[in-house]
Amino acid sequence: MEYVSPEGLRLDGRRPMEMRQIRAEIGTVARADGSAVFEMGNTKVIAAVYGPREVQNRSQQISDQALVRCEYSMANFSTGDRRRKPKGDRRSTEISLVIRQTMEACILTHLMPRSQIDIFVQVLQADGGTRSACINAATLALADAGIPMRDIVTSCSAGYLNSTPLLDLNYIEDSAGGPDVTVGILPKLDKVTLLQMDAKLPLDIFENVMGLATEGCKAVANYIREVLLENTKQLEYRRGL
Amino acid sequence: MDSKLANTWRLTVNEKNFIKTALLSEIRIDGRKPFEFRNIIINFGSEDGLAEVQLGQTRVMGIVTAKLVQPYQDRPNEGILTIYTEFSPMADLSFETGRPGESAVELGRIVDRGLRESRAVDTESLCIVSGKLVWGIRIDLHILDNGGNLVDAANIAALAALMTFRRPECSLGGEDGQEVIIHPPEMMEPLPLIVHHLPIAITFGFFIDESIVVIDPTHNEEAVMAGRMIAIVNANGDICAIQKAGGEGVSQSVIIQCLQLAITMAAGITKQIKEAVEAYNSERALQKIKREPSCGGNNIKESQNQSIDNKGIEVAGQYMERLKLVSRESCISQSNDDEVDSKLSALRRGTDGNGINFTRGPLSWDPYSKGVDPEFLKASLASQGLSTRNKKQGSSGEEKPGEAEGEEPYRDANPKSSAVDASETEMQTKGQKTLKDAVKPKNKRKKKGSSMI
Amino acid sequence: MVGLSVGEKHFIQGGIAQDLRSDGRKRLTYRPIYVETGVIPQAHGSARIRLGATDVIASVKGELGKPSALQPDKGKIAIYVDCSPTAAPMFEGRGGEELSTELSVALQRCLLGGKSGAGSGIDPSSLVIVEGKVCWDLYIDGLVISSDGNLLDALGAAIKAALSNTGIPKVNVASETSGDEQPEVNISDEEFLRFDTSGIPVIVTLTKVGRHNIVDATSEEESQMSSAISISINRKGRICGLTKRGGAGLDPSIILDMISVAKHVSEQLIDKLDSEIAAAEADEEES
Repeated sequence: MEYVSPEGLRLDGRRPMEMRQIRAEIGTVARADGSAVFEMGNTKVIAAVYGPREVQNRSQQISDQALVRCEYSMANFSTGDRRRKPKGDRRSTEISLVIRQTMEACILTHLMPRSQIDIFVQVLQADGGTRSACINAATLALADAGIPMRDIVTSCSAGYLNSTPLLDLNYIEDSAGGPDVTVGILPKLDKVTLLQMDAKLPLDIFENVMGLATEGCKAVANYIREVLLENTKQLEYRRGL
Repeated sequence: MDSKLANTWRLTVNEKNFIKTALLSEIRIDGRKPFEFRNIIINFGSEDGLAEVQLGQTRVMGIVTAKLVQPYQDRPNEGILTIYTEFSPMADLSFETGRPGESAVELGRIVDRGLRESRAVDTESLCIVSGKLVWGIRIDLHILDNGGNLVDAANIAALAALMTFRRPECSLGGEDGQEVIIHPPEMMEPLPLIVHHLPIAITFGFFIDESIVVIDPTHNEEAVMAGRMIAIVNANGDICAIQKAGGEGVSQSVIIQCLQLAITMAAGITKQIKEAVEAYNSERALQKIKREPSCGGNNIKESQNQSIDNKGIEVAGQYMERLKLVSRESCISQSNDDEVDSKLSALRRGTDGNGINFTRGPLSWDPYSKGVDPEFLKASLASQGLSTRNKKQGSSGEEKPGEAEGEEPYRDANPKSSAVDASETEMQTKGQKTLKDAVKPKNKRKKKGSSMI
Repeated sequence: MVGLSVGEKHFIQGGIAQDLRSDGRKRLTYRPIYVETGVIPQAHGSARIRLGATDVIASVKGELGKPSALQPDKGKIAIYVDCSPTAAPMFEGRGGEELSTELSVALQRCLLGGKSGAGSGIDPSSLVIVEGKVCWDLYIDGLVISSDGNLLDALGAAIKAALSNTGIPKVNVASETSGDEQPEVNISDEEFLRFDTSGIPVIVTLTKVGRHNIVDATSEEESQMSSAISISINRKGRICGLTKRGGAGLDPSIILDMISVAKHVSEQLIDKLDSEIAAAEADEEES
């Protein structure tokens, strides 16, 4: 199947190096300490952060660090075919683990010993790149909750179809069976914290694709910084400063 | 999974500091260099599709079974490959029975990605009736002992088990050609799975100081490390999967370096797995021929000659398998089949490595490890015509002393080949124990049917 | 939710007694309702309702299926509610299951009528395509994103909005088939059938705090309730379903009293909701 037309246009009309449109909103869940909605094209994800608060399960308390927990769930209607069991399947468990470890690396946990930070991510619409959207939403929610972090974490995915590296795959391109590389970086420190890949790729092409995904992450990082700046200005304004 | 506080194992601060300080001078606590793998030992079970891998102290067992199932709706022509992991509590206190924890699910998914997404196993050949019936291959990975780096060991176990697994031959029959008949292994030789390439998992551990990277972390190092990356590569230089789930951030250049290193190491491990599997295969084939001693005797001589040509035991194995079919058909009517079989199996069980079992190796204490036996063996094997095979054993036995102390992890630049030879000869020369030879008559070739567990 | 202090509890109860609630509303006033339709493009119909800080999404999806043998001329409708952990950390894992099942059952009772399908807000016979063989299975999924009390009302309103936004694709039956064979059906992409949602009831929950009834309680007020009654009333003023929650016993006359209050409130609510839905749909068509 032609994923990249001879003129260089993809199935949804984008160029190979073009990302989908991103949109972010902070503070959607009023009861949470921090929350955000992140959209990448048709993929829409809500993240809510509760914490730092007292550890619910005393046996898991860590005396010198905060305990970070994460749960990833997809809504029944998020994918084309209705899902019967939104939580607890193996894929959700793995993604919860991945998001938790990624965010844990950038939160300054030693500043909040004996406490617990819960990150809940809910996918409302899944159209490829859910992992990346979840991490971006979680970053925004953590920032909204005022939790100290080393750096923001941004994530983007890239693939390789029809001998072209493609940035930000959607569901059709993802299920084509080609390689799918998801990268999460700490933009200021320029370090890679999340890297997942499946399907086969030779090393040099992989380098290309990873480089492309990293560029995408940096673009997302710029956007996130703008959104956070705007949000802070709004807060200042509301407080009459 | 909420793990009980009492069950979490923690390293003391002193131990952690010790490990970190040692790593700054590129010393690891088990004496390895940072980019050295531990010793890999692959054992096979009595049945096809059972493999046990030891990676230092880590032990993982992989079992492959097959069943007829319905295919997925969006892939009607492909078989199904599923992986189940079982983290037994005897491996580690923090593992609990019942539902798999996060790390168990992650391990299962990583191995699954490496095998399925990279198309290592050919699933289209598993299709019987498109859209209705396909083979569902199930791989069960049991963690027996957690000495660190479970992913790599589990991956090798899965590959070894897959390569030695044989699925029953089946054909379409019945009234309308839609019924599937499965032929039992006695009737038709079961078929191996088609494995295109071997994806090898290599785990890298990152520590707080970014310049420190180690390969194959042990249990203690895992408790200290700040991040890890699992790269699944094959010997052709393709990257099949990468999993770096958070943890310490590393720069891109470090990642590329790690991947290049992984590709070089994968070649050695692939070779080791292939050789272990071939040894098992030829032994298995010999065992089958053993059941019909009168039929296949002379032909084996020729096949052994072939194997000397270093074409690989594979050729001999295939030839022997074909022979086995031929001999089966010709000898089916023999009435004393069962008698011979039971006698042989009893004798087999009674002796342990007697006669020429060319999958056995010498023990380091064996005074005859220098390969003194070639003539002796020649004489005793004259009827079976395995003399030429012994010569090969003899020569490998001679190099063995150099590696007799190969229990220690190898350290040189070419660690893999010597380790492979050591393990192979280990398996081979066990048959040269003369104590038992003295007891049993030499004519009876007590080929040990089951392998070296 | 963090517990309330004794002072706060008195404040809430006293305020209700004086017809002045903590956010300035009167006892029988609803919070402002925001309706957004078409939020889930992959579903046949969807809507998002915000009632103060309570935020719920409802989506309607139809799949082709076989009607049950007992009722071959009716389609099937199922309602499921899921409480997302983003609403409250206690909904993590299996924690939200109890509340989800309670809400699902209450909604089914209110909107779907009895076992025979009589009295249902949506007419299941309009969902059948080929009698006895092919029908639409309608799956209505509710997701609670943020919870600040009065989930049942919000979900009811969301389902009503989603159904009015739903366009079930028209199905052309290919040819006449006999016997047990499944007929060929073509799902058209162009034409859609819309539901007539004027018959769909709304749910009004009356919460009894002290001696007074309030409508649209926040979660703090709900924590002080002694009992609550949720009544689903349709446009014609007919009661379609009733659920009582809470352990306190109520005198039957009080219940009848609450029902009449609910009827009165529901008229305003239905009007408000319909106008909001219409506005939302107009917005959606523009954008």
